[in-house]
Amino acid sequence: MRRIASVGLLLVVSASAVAQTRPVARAGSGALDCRACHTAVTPTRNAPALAACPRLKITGYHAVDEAPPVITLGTPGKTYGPVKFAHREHAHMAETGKGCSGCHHYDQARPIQQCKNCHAVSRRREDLGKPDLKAAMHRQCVECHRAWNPTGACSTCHEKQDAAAKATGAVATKPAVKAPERIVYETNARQGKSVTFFHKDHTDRFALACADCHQNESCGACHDRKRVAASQPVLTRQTKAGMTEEQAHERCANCHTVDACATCHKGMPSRRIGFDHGRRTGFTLNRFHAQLDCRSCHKAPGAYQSISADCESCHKGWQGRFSHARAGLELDEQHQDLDCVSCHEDQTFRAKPVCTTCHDDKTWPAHKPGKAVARGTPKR
Amino acid sequence: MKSQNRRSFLRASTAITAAATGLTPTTAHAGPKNLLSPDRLGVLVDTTVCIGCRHCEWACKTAHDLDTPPLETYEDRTPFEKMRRPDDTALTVVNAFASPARPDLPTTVKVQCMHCDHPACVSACIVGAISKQKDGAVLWDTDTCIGCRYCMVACPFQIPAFEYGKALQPDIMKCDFCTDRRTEGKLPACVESCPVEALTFGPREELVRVAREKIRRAPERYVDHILGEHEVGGTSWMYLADRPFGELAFPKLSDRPAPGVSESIQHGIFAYFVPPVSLYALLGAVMWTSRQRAADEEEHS
Amino acid sequence: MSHSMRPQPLDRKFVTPGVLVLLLLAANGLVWLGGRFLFGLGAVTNLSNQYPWGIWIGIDVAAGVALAAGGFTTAALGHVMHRAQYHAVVRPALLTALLGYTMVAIGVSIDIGRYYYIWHPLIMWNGSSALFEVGICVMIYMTVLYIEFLPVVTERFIGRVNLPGALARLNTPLDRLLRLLDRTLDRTMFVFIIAGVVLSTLHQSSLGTLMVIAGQKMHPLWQTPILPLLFLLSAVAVGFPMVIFESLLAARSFGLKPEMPILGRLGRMVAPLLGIYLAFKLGDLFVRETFVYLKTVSVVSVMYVIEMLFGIVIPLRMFMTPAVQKSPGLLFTAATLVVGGVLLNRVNNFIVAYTPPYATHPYVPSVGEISVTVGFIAILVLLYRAAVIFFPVISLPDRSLTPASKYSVRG
Repeated sequence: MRRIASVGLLLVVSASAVAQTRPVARAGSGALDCRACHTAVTPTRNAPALAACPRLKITGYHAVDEAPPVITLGTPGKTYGPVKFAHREHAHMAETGKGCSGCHHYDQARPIQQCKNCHAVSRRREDLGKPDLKAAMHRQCVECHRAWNPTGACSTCHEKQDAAAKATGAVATKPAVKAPERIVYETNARQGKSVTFFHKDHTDRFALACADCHQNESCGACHDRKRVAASQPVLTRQTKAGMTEEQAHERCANCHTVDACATCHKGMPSRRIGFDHGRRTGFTLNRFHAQLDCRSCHKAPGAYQSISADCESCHKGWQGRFSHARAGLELDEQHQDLDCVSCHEDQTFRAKPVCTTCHDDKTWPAHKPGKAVARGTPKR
Repeated sequence: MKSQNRRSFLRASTAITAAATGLTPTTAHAGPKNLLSPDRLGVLVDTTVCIGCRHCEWACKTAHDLDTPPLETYEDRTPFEKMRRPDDTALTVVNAFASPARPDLPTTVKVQCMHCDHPACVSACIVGAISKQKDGAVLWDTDTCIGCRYCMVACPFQIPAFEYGKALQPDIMKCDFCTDRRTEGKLPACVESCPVEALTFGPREELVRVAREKIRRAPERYVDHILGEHEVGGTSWMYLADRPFGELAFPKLSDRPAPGVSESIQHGIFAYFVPPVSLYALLGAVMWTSRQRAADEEEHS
Repeated sequence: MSHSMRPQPLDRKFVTPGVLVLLLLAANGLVWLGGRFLFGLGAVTNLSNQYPWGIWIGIDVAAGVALAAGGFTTAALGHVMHRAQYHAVVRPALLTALLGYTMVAIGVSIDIGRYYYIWHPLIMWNGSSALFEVGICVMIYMTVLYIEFLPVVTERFIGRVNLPGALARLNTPLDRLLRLLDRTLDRTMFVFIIAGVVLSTLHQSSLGTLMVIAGQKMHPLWQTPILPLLFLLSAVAVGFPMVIFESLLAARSFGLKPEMPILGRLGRMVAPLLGIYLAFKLGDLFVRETFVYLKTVSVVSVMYVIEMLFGIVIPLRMFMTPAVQKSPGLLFTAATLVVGGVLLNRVNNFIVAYTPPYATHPYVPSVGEISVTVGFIAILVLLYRAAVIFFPVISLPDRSLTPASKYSVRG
């Protein structure tokens, strides 16, 4: 009788002991080096000696195209299968956002750490300060996906378990991004409140990729479900309150001169005005070129392509048939038959003409090789 | 006759006093449990993480053998169109609140019993059918309950529900902190089912630390307030949010335990039965003297 | 105690047209009650998870207990203070209290979900629960009331036990038992009378404590830590008006001469009691500065004003007028106002002031709830009528001097 009782007692004690032990997730094989986070050799709970967290740049993969194309995430549950995660595609999109470290945070050295090295596999754990693996992954995905799919339906990413059984590894495609044709900014300028930005013209003509302009933006900014559905050609944006004038002009001022306010601040400006050709291309348009349509020179269809700054590239065989008086100076007889390069050393006719090729004591513009006339009025 | 009356009066008074005082220790032991262990467990609900998938609702119903449609149907967002409360068919519900910052993404808040540290229901229950367990859970006992619904009157969070449709053995329905599951070593059903771990289960003290750390690290994400840390003397379930809790339909409550005033009145009136016994003695004295006087008058007349 | 008035059974027919109406109301109530037992509380009541308590608690129980306060106030006056001149109203008040409390007990047991567990509080105690205290006190007090009423029963039957047929053999032992009971009660009755007063004081006040735990779910106009005191004071104040009300009503119903001298004297005592109650009500209103809620017109503010004005202020002024103490009509009006005021106070406290969070629509009692409550009141009146016809309760000018019993309720 006593034996039975003692066996029973032993069972109860051991059962309760098992129940007490919580499975604690240990770091996997590729465990972090303790010193990655702790500055002391033997950190304790009370004195963890934590280093500033090293949110360093990813060194594991250098280019997004080197990233693994598809990763299978998660283990199949009762209802839903794992997720075929289009990793490379996301990496591409991440360029407009936080980059690789947007997801691979705290990662500091190759190879990239696995999530489960830090995030416990079991929800019953001691360190409640960071989410468990399942939650960490869901939060990463949901953060963006929720923005354009607020229902948060599991089947957006997970395949239904029955379907998953015969899944062919198909990857859910990203939602389409429809760029607007133009964006009208309602600014807080005193005059000419609205500034129209020709988004489509910019991306088409200058062959811009999203990431060329959009950096550090949330996914939802473009993958906005409502906007995609409505696919509005014209968006209206309000300039954020509290922006300094400099901040407000920052983006445009990369390409445009911003000294003439009215160029932009007048509802619908002409599409060309304000583009600082010289600043962006190094080829300042002279007054003749400035009057031309862009397509007169940039003839190739599609985005504007850079063309040679050499005059001959457009003005074929013009030399010898040029009336210098058009430039505002009628050459005298001694200079009339000289080659252009004799004075204009650079092919672009931008630099100051030189006299030293022939004359030691003459300089431009103190001495002129002819008679100044009104520009553009050739005297024949 | 008179003297006999007087003697029996005294005898009876003594007997009643003794009986009354004799009751006192029994009463002290008889009350329901309210054990506050420092290791008591809790759940931290981070409403800024919650995505409103309502898997917790499904898991709760499944764990408690309540009727529920399959999980896929919970992708339907129409239930958010009206405010819901836990009732006898659902021990927990998730409600949505329009978010001024993100109109497309409402803030979703799960509601269930808060498992107060000083529960009003435990204090109120006429038969002590509700008790605060050592592990933090506030549990209802079906064998004791008489169905008076005073717990529902008392609860500051308006949580206990009653099976009004049942003629026999109607139950008080409320979250039981999945005590059965936990004794099997499992997590509460809702906590286990949450895909984003908006519900963090663990020792309450640890959760308070975690919550403080979250607020410290992301002050722009949270209001500096852990609902349930101090409200009504502290609750096992606590909440974090990105805006004042009043906007998320939480009642504004003081830090004093909900049963405080009521209990101090009760204990004042029944302080070791001294007040009632004194009143008894006083009335006895009045009665005796007035009868004496009447008898004297009768004798004189 | 020499007096010309003596309690005796009334020589009246039970059934009258009014009684038929009451029977109808009672039957209707019982039908609805049957629905509650067959299909559950939800089928008959408008109660919900937000409003767990309705008029069955607010009127049947809370107001019922308050309006049965005549029992302990007259007992205190007649027996504890030994004012023999009031003995004529003690028994009717005792009967009212007895029937009232019985209805309260039944009202509670139909309202609780598991009526068959009504005995649980007897062995399962929770000392911190105000409801537990109310429950226990009401149970004990009800027993005390029945014990207090026993002399009326013995008085009715001593020397008249006349069982039919085979049971006739028991007549003599039963008679002896009654006489023994009567003697014992005569010596120990004071214990029960004082106990009754103490128990009443306790549970009348604890009934106020009940809603304190509801905290801010209750409107500040009523929610106050001195609720138990207010409940006790109002119970004390409503005791005599209830006796006046019921006595005048009975006199009219049975075609008796109202006992104006006694009732007038009782009426004189109402004013100070009501005054104290009013003082505390107003004091509470100003100390907690809740009068700000009266600035806006809403259901709560209107109800509060009605309760204060018609339930306290106007009857207080009336009871202070000597003319009122002499006129049965005015006395009845004043008493009715107080009774109505306290009834309204209980309804206000338990129903109107109770504004829980998350309630989508306010609680309005259902037809079933009203039917049951009205049915209970009808049954109460019928039982009262039956009791005064059968038992010596109402004092009448003494006609037969044969000492059917020398025993009467004595302290």
